[in-house]
Amino acid sequence: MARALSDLLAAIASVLGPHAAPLDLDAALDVTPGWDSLKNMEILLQVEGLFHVRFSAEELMSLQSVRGIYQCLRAKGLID
Amino acid sequence: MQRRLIIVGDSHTVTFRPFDADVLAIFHPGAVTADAFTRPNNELTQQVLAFLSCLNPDGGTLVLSMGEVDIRAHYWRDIPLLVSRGMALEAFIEARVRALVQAVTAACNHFGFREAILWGPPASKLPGTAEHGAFPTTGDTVTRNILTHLFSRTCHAIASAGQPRFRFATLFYDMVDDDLATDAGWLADGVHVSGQLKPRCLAALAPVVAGDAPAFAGPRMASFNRQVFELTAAPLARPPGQSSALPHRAWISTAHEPQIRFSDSAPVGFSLAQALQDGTAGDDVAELVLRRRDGAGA
Repeated sequence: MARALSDLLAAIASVLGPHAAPLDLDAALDVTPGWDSLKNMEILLQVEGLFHVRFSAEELMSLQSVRGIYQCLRAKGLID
Repeated sequence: MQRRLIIVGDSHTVTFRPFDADVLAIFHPGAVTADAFTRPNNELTQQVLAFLSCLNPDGGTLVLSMGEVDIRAHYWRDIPLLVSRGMALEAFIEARVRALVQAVTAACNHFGFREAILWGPPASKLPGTAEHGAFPTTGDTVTRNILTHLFSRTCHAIASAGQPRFRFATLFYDMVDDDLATDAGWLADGVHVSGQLKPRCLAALAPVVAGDAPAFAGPRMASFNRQVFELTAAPLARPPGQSSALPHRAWISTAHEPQIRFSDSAPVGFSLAQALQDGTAGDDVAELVLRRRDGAGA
């Protein structure tokens, strides 16, 4: 069963921590406070675990926003 | 030197102090990374771009100092995971360099600079120095110097191929021995090139500034280009005082798979493929290292 955008946002928020700003599709590396390059890889690995997906190396290097991750998961049929 | 230099970037700009007949200006807003410079929303990138917007593009030669922080603190955090996903190490470096070149070219076009020279990263931090957290470190010195070689030769090749507005100069190959260990005599504090060696840095930049060559790396680069390197796994055991200030295991502890593990009794020198396949042999997470294939530099 495909998950929802709210699940993705919750996964990202869990990495950014309890004081993270509310997230939406526009949240991204360098845009959202606390989402830096160090956190970016942790976010992607967290999403991999939640959605049972394995990103390619190219995807790991290029995904840097909620919108990008969402579109990638949607293309794989893993999110509504 | 025909044109005075405007030097922008990471803390390695310090080598070019003070301003003089060769150096017109230095702007060091923080630990500027090559990776961050490819992202316009990055705070340090915005500071650099704001500085460039204030310059007369005909007033001097733009020199960008970036790459050392990426290699010291960032690349080795991501490379093992990406390699485990099938990406060649050289492909990772080339992707990073090409993204940087694209950003440099775009900045030159936008602000009217004829070209920018990337001042390549120096040999990497000496072990046991600057371990106070200001210079977070991943990988060992030889590993980072091999990454610096791969980074430098890629920059050199792209500039030499005639990439518009992108030039490259480095003294890295003068700063390492044949086994890619850092020559301590170059580094004032274990990290930065001594200001006393500023004349040698200016001499390396001179042919590129003058337009006599698109890139300069010195004669030793060719010998390193002929060498083959391999990724191996070694036990994660760092001497006291040499621990990383970064979450060295972050990519391992959060990855559901693969986890690179092997037992205490496993010999050093596992190939990456073996280490990846040996997923349940023990609790010691492997630290990956780069070495010359013949074992030199180990």
